[in-house]
Amino acid sequence: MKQEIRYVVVLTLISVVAAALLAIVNQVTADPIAQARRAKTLNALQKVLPPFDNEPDQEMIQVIYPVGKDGKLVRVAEIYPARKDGKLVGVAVKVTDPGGYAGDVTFMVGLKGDPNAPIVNGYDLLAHKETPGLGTKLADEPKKPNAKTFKTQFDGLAFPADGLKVVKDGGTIDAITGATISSRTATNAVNKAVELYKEKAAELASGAAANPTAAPAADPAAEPAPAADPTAAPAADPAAGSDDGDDKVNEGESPEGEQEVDNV
Amino acid sequence: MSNQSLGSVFTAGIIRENPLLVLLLGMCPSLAVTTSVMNGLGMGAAVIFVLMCSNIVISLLRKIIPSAVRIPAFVVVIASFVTIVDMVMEGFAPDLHAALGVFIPLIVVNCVILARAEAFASKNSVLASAIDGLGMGLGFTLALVLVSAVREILGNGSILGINILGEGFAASPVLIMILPPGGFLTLGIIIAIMNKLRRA
Repeated sequence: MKQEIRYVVVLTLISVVAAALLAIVNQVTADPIAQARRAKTLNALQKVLPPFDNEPDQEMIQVIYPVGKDGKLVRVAEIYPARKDGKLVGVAVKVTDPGGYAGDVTFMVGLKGDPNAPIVNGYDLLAHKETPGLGTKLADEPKKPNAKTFKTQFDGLAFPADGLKVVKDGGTIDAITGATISSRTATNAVNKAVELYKEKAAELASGAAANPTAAPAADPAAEPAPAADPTAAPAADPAAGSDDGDDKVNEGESPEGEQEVDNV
Repeated sequence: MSNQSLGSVFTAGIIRENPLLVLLLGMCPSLAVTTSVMNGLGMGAAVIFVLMCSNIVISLLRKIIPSAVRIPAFVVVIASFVTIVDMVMEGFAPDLHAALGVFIPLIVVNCVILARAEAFASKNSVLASAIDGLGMGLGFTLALVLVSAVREILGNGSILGINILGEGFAASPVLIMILPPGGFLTLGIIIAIMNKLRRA
């Protein structure tokens, strides 16, 4: 009997110490983790959007949409409006297509112009489980300026009225050799992004009208918790300052807003 | 075992008892992450950290933990360190964290670590256990780097992301080498060479 009690006491003590230690590490790393996740989003936004001077992640709209044949499964899309001088210059749509070779593939798709005939402004691959060397070519950047990859086909592409398709399906996008399925997810994702852009066009545009200065501080409800923490700001992205939008914002914003934009 | 000199404890893990190539432990993460040298190094560093910390703590507690509950106790210790690595890496090295993905949490069930806790740390002094952890961790890392170097060179024409075999090769590499079969092939051939060398 005494022996059994010892088992319980020792295991409990070990677990309590372990839990306390993890709580401390969690305290220390919570901010950097949130910051790293946000930097990833902002980085993707910069890649697919024209120069902007607002903080798109503060005005993000979430949309839940059904996927698959019976529509029972859903995915969550996030629409990020980019504004310059209060005018909508483009949107980035984070969209997940479940039709990858190995399940979900998540893209950040950049769109600009009239929602009914938008221009695709490139995409950024955010998350996937595609085959290395085949499906992963979705993310390949051109090695030299003006060289072509699968991805560059989407830069400045006028979106056709009947949607994008790969050549094999009667469309115009050249699929990656050996990775037609992965290529198809990219066209599906862009199609979905355009659909969501159309659906939310009024809301996105009116956001600008109701909020002409596009000051993020005026919209606390849409502000994700990590972004609200100014102490997390010093972990700046090294790519900071390359964006044309920076100066504009720094002129008339709160200090908090300023720090966060420096991060972009 | 406790009579062994610390030097031989250290070198055992690197060559004579290399966890991956001789003891054949921890094969699953090894096959999965060794598609690039960077991944191999990242995984190796994470394993060295976890293995040293868990060996030290388990060695410290070896007289306190009753043998009937030693396995759950080891697992709690190991899992705590793995969680720490996971959180720290996500916060401070997000790119590496994204590349290693699910294999960081899976270090918990990496048999190298539980095996060393059971076979060495629970019977030896703290210093010897720490050195065993370091040696085994380094041996594991070296083996991962070896496997991943072969796979990255043949499967991608590069090493540490730097192209070394020229554009022509990089355009059509031996793709199978960075797919799962390439992992088995490479590991199998390296183990065969290792066996041959050890018997010679």
